[in-house]
Amino acid sequence: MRQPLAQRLDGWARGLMPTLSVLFLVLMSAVPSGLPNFAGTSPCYSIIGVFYWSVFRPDLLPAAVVFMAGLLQDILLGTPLGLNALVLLAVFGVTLSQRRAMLGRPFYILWFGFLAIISAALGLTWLLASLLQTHLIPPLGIGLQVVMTLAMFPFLVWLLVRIHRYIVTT
Amino acid sequence: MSQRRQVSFNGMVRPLGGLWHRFAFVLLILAAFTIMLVGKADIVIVNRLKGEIADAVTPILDVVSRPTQALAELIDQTRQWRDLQAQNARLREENKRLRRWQGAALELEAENRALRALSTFRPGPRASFVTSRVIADGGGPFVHSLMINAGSRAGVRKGMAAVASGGLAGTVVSVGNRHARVLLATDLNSQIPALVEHSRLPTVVAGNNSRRLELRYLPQNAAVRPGDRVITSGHGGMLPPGLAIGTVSSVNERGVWLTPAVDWDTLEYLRVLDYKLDGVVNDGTEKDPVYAVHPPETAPSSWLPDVLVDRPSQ
Repeated sequence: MRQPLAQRLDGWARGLMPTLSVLFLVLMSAVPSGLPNFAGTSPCYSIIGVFYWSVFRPDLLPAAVVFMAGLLQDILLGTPLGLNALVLLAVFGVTLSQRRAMLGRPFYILWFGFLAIISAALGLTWLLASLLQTHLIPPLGIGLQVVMTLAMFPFLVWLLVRIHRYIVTT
Repeated sequence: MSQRRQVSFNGMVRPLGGLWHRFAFVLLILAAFTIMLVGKADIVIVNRLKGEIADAVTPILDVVSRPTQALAELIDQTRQWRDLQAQNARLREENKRLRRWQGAALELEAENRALRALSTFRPGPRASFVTSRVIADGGGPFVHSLMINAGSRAGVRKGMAAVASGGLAGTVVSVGNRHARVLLATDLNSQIPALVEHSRLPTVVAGNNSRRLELRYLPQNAAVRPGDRVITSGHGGMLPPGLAIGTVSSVNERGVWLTPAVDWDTLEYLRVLDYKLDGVVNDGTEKDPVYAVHPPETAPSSWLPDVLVDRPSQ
């Protein structure tokens, strides 16, 4: 039986929330953090978004969206075009294959899983960026970025859980 | 019959769906790789498309970046309140010193004016500038560049110098209608022709994606000491000469290092200077600047500050 139009529109709006939230997090990744002593280093919010939705609702986050979000991030940050697209896709793929290990587990398991993912993702970014610029980038700032992103993880997950609940409630 | 067919159809579709997803995923990964390799080639249409997309997002970034900026200002203000007394004492001291300098400057200015009148000195064009707000940052350790909310509509063009209160922050590397990208002096790809101020040694200031800058191509046994100021030389005709870049912080066998003049923590606004220089090779992404039709200047070095012009001693 076909649902009434309003209900279908509502369904679409809910289905779009993961995409919109990931795009918003891409914008946040580009905004200056404004913290003293950390100029130029922002947490990788977009990786948190892609990670969260690939664990809990991969059906609502198509790979194409992840790809476009990565391209947008490259354009906004000025990183070589395609770099973040590739990294976000890798985060998406690896998380998807490991999601069963994190579903329905306590929060710290999720956090720990994210630690592994973010370290690997920034390691990959470092490798690709160094190759593309044919120059080794000093790896000091990367550790800082890992720590910052891990620290922001609980707050972002709290926010994403609110969005997740909005999607689920009918 | 039809029911049997449907069951077998479903049975086929399910693994195909997974296969299709996997195929799309691999295809996207390959696309990202291709874009990365093609992006290295600096293709005009790709650059223009990037510019258009960034232009479209600029108004959103402009809004989104305001709260964090307000937060930064709040933190800065509380810091200032905390250090008010110490700062006051320091400023009094500095004020005394600056008054003495003011006297010296006034004297020199009068002398300068008199000498200029004697030598029929022709002053160069005054620099105009555009003040803009930093709206995107955050390339982190990988890229040191910023987006500002002024583009070609505000008169910003490729190659212009972007300065903050302390001195040179970077150069404009790409321009859209409403935004421009500034490559900071600390980026790996930034190399700026410079001079060591007191010894007039030509050098190149190179970034390495850390907070320090490196002096390259200095002559062997060059007399460079910690504390020496380094300024832009204007060689290459891209940047105006005389902008502060930094001070030498350490000299050792591995190189000469600079502390940048700009405080990267408080980089909220940048001024983009227009000295009507045209040392940038146009790559076709922007229209010819208006001033390109003017005849070449008869005395191209006339706008240099006095100290930089080699005058025959009379």
